[in-house]
Amino acid sequence: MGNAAHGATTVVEVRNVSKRYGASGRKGSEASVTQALDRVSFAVAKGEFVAIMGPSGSGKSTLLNCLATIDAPSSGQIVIGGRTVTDLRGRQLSDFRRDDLGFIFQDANLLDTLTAYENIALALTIQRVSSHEIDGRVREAARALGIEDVLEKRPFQMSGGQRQRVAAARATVTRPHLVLADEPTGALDSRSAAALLESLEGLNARGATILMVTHDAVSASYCGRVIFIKDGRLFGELRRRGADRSAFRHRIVEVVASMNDAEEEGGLGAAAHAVQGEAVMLHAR
Amino acid sequence: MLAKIAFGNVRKSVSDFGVYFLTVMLGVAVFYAFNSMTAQQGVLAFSETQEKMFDLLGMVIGGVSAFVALVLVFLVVYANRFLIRRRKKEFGLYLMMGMRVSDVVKIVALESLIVGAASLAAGLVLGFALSQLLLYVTSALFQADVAEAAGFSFVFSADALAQTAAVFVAVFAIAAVLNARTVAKAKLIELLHADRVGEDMRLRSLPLSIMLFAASLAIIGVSYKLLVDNGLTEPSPQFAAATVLVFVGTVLFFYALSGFLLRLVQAVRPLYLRGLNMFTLRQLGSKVNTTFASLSIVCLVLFLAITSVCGGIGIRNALVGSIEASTAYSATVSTNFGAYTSETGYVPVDLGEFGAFAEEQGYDAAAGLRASVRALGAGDFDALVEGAAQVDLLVDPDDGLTMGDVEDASGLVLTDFAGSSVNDGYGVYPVYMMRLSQVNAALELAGKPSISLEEGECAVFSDSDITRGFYERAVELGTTLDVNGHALKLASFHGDTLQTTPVPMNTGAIVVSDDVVPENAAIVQTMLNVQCATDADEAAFGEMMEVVADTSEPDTWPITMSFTRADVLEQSIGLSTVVAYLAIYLGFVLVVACAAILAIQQLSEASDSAPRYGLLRKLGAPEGMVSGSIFMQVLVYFLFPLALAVAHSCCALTVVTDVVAVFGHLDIAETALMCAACFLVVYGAYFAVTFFGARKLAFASE
Repeated sequence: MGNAAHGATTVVEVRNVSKRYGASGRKGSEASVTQALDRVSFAVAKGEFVAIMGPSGSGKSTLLNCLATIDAPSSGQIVIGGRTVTDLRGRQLSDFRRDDLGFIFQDANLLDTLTAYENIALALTIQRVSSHEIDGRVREAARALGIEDVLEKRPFQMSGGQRQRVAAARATVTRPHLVLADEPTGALDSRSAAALLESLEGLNARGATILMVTHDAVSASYCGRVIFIKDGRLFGELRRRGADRSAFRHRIVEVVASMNDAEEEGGLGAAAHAVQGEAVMLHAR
Repeated sequence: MLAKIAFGNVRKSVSDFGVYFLTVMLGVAVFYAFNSMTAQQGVLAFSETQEKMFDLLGMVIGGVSAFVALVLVFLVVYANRFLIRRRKKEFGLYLMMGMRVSDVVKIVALESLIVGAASLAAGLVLGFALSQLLLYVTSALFQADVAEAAGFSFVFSADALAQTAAVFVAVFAIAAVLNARTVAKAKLIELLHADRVGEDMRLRSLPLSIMLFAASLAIIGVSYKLLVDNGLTEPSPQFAAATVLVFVGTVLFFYALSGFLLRLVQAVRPLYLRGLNMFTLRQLGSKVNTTFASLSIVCLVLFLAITSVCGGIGIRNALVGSIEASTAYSATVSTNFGAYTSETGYVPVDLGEFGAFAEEQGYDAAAGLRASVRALGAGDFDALVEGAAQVDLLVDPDDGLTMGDVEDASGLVLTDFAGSSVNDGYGVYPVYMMRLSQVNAALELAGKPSISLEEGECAVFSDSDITRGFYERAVELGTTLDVNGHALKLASFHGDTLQTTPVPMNTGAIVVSDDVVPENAAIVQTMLNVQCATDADEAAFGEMMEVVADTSEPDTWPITMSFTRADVLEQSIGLSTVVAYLAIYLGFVLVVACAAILAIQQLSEASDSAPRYGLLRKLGAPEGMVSGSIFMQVLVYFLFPLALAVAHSCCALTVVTDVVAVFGHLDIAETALMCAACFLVVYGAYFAVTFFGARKLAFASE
């Protein structure tokens, strides 16, 4: 479509990615095959903050896993930072995850035996970054996320929001090409969630490219762009284009509602038609 | 209903219960096999003396079993606790669903009962097999005393069975009570979040960590010093203090270890901030509150095992080694004619008419015995004896050479060489003389090269480790002794035993040319060594000598002691082999138990930590790096208890060596090497199994 890149450097390019689960390779056994992703294509430019939205079962988690190189698509290509990750194997994959990706999980996923400082530093020591460089970078990341005062605490001594910000610091301290966030606010109360999202905005303002999966319109409204996905297919996308956050949230909620309507209408043909209609409608605005 | 759930749980988590099952089963098997040792008495053909020794052994086993039972209680409670901890969340779920606490306690108790009964039964079956195997090993070691009952004979000890069952029922009861307490006391929220609450590692400051660690080393050092200085000769308050201190020091060592390591490495930033080092150290530290106790016990048990195995093999080797050296002749018949110390002078033994007969025979033992045997009609001396050589221990009744004289002449002090194993006042004890011609004849009879002395020279014989070093040094120094007015230089040292005896106790006798021996020299002891052509002749000779020794017929040769080679072998090898065998057996069982504890602990920890390893992999840590971290963790767990136990053992064994020196030479270096090799094989195998198992568990989540 060409409307994603806008001339800036493309960090992520998803080309025609499909993922099928089940008894693959046997013709005529369609019933036992689940089509989790169906020819999904999009691109993310450097410095973007993108949300991927969709109801549960839409395939957004599968898409994230494929981007995270934890899962491999059945067909299609994913290019991140100029490397075709779908061609990487074994050792190259873990090296790629280590050097080019940052992760923020739903439940922080910090190591409970380590302090916040150590959790952040771990991402660097795994990369074998030289030790005298580590301290400065950890403190810088902590400052950016406002967690300097909890650095010596262990995860169970912190609040959920603090834990998620430590996770965000860990994900960004390595300066990855892409930060992947999987429902980062899912386990947080609204105030902590807002604080975290503001932190992510801040990180984005400092140049981090962030791709966030969420089903929450409020979270998505912090992003610059929202990609909607339903039944494994791209449903459409919304761009903020400098709009006010609450206005943007409103538009997001509208699209989510229309997705649900399509669901209720039932019938594959009708849904597909609706998808086309929405996409056109959205782009027309 | 509850029983159904309990059965279901056991079936479902059979792998979790497997660890528990295996531990209890091995414990039961070992306990039974060990306690049924005394039942072997009924099957093995022992001589009367060995029978008595085996009774004594039964008592020893009783004492050791109390200790083994304690170890087993710990093992079972430990394995059980591990199991409960892993299942806290499950119990929380039962309570959530509205089950009563008492019901959950019942489920846990039922589960323990099911697994306990199964493992007790399996353990007893394994124990029967093990004790059977043990019987054949024992009888094989007693070459001369193989079981009389030909073929298969089944040893079954009802006592041991009852004892084992009683001990383990008690152990299960304790474990069940502890479990019930854990479940009943726990709050629902804690149970549900059991997997989330990381143990809070009480981190101490760097100086305090180092101080605690240093204190533990200091305490251990003090206990070593107490032990080495006071020896093992008798129970003393110092020995008790050393025991308590080594225990306290060991516990403190493991309590402070992980904190110390963490703080130490943290102080070296480049090392701390490298790869997964900080993760590894935190992993080690996170379990310190639960592991320091078990690591201490593992260390102390390993210490006991190493010491008993090294000591056991060493004592056996020393005895067997000295037996070869002290059975150079088919038989030795000895007669004591007197005693001498510099305080009392020469005191003759009143042998009455027998003494007169000996004098009549010119103190020629062979002639005297030949005549005695003929007179008693006990047999034909010359038909049984192929060769004979007499050695007399002589002393100048006016001015005998004493240990004190040798010390003065050489400038050496015996206690510098022999340590605490010599009695005070040894200075007045005599150093006897032997005639060169007699010694050479005896050496020749044993098939050994004879010795020659230049004018003004003498040689020294000693077969005791107490004086060996002393005399060797004296020879090196070229010490000159005053013997009957002759200045004789000590030219050579010889360790040969010039008789057949169960206890070689010649602490030093000098060999001089026949012409140096004074006219009035008195015989302290006469030894007649004989060689017989066959074992049958040897046995017949022994019986013949008994007749002579027992007779009251006046015209016969006086006999103080008479030993054949077979007598010596029976008396010495039997007991020492059993004792050594038990020590080795107990030692290896303990080592295996220790390795098993460490393995269980590490495997359970690896499975607890599986999500952490999964996260590390998600963060992009290469497989090799994660494996390296697991390797380090397992290594620390296996290496530190072993290292400290080896240090404890080295200290204890130096003390044991002093004690054993009385019996013969204890070659601790060779023994230690042998044991080290065996231990490394067993321990290394467990280490490898644990490492690969832990790695598999860690990567299972991918």
